[in-house]
Amino acid sequence: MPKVIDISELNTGQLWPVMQRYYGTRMAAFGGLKPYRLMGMVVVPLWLTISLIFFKPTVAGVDSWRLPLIYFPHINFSRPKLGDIVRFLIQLAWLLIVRQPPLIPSAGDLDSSLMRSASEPQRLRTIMLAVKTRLINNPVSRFLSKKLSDLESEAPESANTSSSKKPFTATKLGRTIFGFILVALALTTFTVPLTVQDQFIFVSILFLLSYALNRVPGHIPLMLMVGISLLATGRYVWWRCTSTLNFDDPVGLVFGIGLLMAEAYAWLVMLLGYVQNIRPLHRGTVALPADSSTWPSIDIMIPSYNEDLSVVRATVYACLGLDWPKEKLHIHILDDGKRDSFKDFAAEVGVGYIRRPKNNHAKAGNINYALAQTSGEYVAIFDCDHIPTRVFLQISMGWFIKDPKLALIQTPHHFFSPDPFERNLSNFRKVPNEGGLFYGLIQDGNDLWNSTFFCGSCAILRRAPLEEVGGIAVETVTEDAHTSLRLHRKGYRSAYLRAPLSAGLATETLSAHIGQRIRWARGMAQILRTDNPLFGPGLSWQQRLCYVNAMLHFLSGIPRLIFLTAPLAFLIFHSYIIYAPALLLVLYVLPHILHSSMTNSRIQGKYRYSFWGEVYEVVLSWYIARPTTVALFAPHKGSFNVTAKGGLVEKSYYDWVISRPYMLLVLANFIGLALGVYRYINGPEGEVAAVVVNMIWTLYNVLIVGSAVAVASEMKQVRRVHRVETNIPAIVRLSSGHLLQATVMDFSLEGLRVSVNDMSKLPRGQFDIDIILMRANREFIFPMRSVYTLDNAMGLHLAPLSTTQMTDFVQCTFARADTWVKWQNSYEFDRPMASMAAVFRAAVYGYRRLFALAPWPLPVLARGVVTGFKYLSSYSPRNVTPRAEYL
Amino acid sequence: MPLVIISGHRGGTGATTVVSNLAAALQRTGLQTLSIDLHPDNQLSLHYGVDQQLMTGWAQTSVSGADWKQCGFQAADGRRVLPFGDVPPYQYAQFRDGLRETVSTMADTLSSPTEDWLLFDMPVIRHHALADNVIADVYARLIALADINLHVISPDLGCYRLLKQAALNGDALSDKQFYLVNGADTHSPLSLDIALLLESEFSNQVLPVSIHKDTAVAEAAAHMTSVNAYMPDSQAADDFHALALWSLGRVGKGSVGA
Repeated sequence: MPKVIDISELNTGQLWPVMQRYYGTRMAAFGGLKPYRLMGMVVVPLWLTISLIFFKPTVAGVDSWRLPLIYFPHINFSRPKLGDIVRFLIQLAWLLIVRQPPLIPSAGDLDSSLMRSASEPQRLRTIMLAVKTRLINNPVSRFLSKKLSDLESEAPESANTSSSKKPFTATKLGRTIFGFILVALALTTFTVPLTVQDQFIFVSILFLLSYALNRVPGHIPLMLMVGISLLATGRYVWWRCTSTLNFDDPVGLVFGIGLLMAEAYAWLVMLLGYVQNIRPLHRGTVALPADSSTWPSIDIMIPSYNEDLSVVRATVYACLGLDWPKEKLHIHILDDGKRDSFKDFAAEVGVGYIRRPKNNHAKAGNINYALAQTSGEYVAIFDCDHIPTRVFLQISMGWFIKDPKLALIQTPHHFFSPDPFERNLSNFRKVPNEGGLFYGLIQDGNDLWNSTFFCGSCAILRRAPLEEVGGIAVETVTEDAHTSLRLHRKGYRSAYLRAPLSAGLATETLSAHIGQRIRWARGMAQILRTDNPLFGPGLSWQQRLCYVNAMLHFLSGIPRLIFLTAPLAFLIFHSYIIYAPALLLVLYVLPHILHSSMTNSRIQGKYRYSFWGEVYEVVLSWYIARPTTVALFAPHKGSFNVTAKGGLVEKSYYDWVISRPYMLLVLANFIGLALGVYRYINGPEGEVAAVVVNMIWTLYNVLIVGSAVAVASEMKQVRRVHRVETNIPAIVRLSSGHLLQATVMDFSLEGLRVSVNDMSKLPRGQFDIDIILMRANREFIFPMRSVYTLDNAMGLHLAPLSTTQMTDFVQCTFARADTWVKWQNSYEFDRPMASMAAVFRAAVYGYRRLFALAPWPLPVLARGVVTGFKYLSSYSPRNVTPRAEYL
Repeated sequence: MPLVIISGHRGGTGATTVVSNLAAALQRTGLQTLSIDLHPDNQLSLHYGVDQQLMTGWAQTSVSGADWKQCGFQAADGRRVLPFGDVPPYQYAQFRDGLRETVSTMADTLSSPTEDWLLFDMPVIRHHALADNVIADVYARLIALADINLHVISPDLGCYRLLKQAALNGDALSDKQFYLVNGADTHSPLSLDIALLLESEFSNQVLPVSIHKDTAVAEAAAHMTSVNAYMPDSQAADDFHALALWSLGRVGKGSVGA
């Protein structure tokens, strides 16, 4: 801290040099990179003089002359501009009105220390937390939480009591009566007409109740939240169907009914989703018999069509190391590409190679042909880029031994490379990906109802039932789901093991990703037409619902497009598609949206963040809308397309072709917004609320579409082989014979990165080195060549290895039993507001990229807007946090 | 007070090095160790930084008449060592005649412990027929007292055959006798195979911990210190740490420091 000079001590003879020092050092502190302006030469010394004369040396623990630096961090006093007067006044007002975080945190004061260290969003979170704590700590929620936890703890006891004391509601008659009462009550609640005020009070109570319940852990509060959500939606549905359609306006009626249908789809999917995910099974594992000679024989099938040999290699190496009696494990490469390199490779490593004369029915046909050539009791199927861990069979096979009617075990598809969403939005491992919800929750939820379905890879099937239903289904392009549907119809069971026992490559580009989803969507629509799970023999009603929900999911294209354009009907065509006062609409629709997203956020929190589902849907909507519709009417049309993987995006580009529909949507929505502004200014008085509501809706659409636009901006992918981050012990062996303790930080098929504590023992430049990896108490040594060294880490490239060595390497890395265990656990629980902010940031990024890459004059325009926005935001006040060096 | 006896299953397996480094690893966990050299070669103390010119040691004092308690040393890291001392050949007979008495007085003194752990570097005495009966008898009684009797073996054909021979002869092993594989060379497939063979055939006796062949061990010995002090980041240092943890676990928490 600079010494404070006390004027009284000054000797007048020394005054000048002291003054020089006083002003010199302080003015330097105010100065920036550029020299002082004339105005600055006036303002800063003026302030220094004032502070010297009128202020205490320190104010609030800070040297008083520094106060402007701290409280007006965005103003450069050495070069004041005209706008700075406004900035100063705004900031001054802000400082007077808004309480700033305390300058010096007192020890042990958690809140203030949080405030001080927190960055902007964190601070917001802290404030939100404080607000929430106050909201939650009310007597009502305390009472609720106590009652509910009592209920939960009582539940198992009441189940144990003897049947003579069975409560009335548990008997069949009791249940029926109870159900009737419930339905009657629900219908009454849905339909009872309320005035605007009453509806407001009603939804407020619902919201507070649900908000409090959201904080109470356990299953019953969740069920109650689902109930409240259904209540809010039910009221909305009734109101929507009875009082919002204008039969006098034919155009409005057509649009209105279109929107109503789309909404009906959304309600149905929401309802089915609740049923499907209400209680995920979380199936464990079953031990195999101790005597491994009784274990069944298994055929491993690795179908391939056009993938690179290097991709298939890793899978084969991993399969070679699966923990299973060698004589009972037969690995086959099913090559539809008819490539001799594959044949040679198979012969070299000693696995089976099956090539068929014709390529009919693609992958399904390929597997069916191989089924006829093999005879193992079980069939395990891995896509050629899915690398199983060594424990795959031992962990999953136990269920087959325990349950003779079990025909299928499915495990998650886990990807160690980013999919196009994760890559282009740079949120790999930060936001659960599209598959996270399906493999983390939905399949597990399906499992409760015995309706987990086959996903084509990373699964084991029992041969006898599979042959009984005629092998893999060939009638549709989603042969996997169709096959399991047939198995279920025959009364066989399926199981889902939510353990990541294998990992693979995600699709590289957005167009490939969309191509894959189009195939799934078409296939699901085909099944819906040709083998509708709602009808036909053999299924329980829960299975029917689960299958139908899976298929409905892919019909989301048209409803989503309707939602994206619905507000435009009013803004552009001035058609009232929801014929109701805006206020009433808000009072009905907002509870429906709020409760369903709150409940879904609680159910899906770890697997899908709020609003991301919409982004995923919007990206696909246009592309799946047509094929699903076509498939619904003509199920046998359309061709099969293979998902391309393992490619390389060599340079960043914008995919103008794939993003064309989003462009149209963006354009339409912008026009809508512009007309909205016009209507707001020029429209009749009574319309203002409707305009505002529709504009908010459009704005939301613009942002959601914006993130779809961002996804289409393909980021460069430099690395052909993907690295997997890890943390496994290893030993570095130098040519001198020294062994150093090391940790593998990441690995790929071509090398790895290790860290050692003491780099001084290592040679300089490029050098050869051996890495020793451990697996099951055995050690394997791999010759490597150093590529680079940085801090305590070095990048190493594998020297040419023999087949045995390569198998060992895959075994020691990709196929380690614990490699993927951390999957899903790394994600935080969903925070809807943060998630919304992330989606919106993605949207802003998308628009910026879009305009930067667009033809002239759009980039200039965009830059202008950004500059303008930046200029405007420079006026915004900010909270001040003193930096440590000032204290 | 736990008592560990370490001897090579045959010559040249590095038993003396193991004593020194195990002592260092135990010392690092906060225990006070005393290592006693029972080997007429008198090599152990070199690993503790003791000057080779010094001739004193417990065996030497037993013939010279000096006080054996005066010839202990403490290394820089706190390990204590009692050398064997230099006994010239013409005094062997005298040493042997007085051995029983020497050992019993030493045992009396050591039974009131100032040390947490006692480690003995014992020479190879497999063939009683060839061994000096008195010394063999005394050492055998010591072995009977030990908590852990560690035989250091190399992962080579010679050691494997010796073990196999013993198993074929039906030699009974005490439940305190273990084999420690020292110098496992990951670079050599034969060494790895034999280590695997040893582990699968003698799974009850071969320790789960083995010491890698690491140049740092030899270098540490050349610097007259332990590998832990010489190069703590080396794999061998980690191996000895693991060996110390295994020993602690084997002896059991209750008796440690008692």
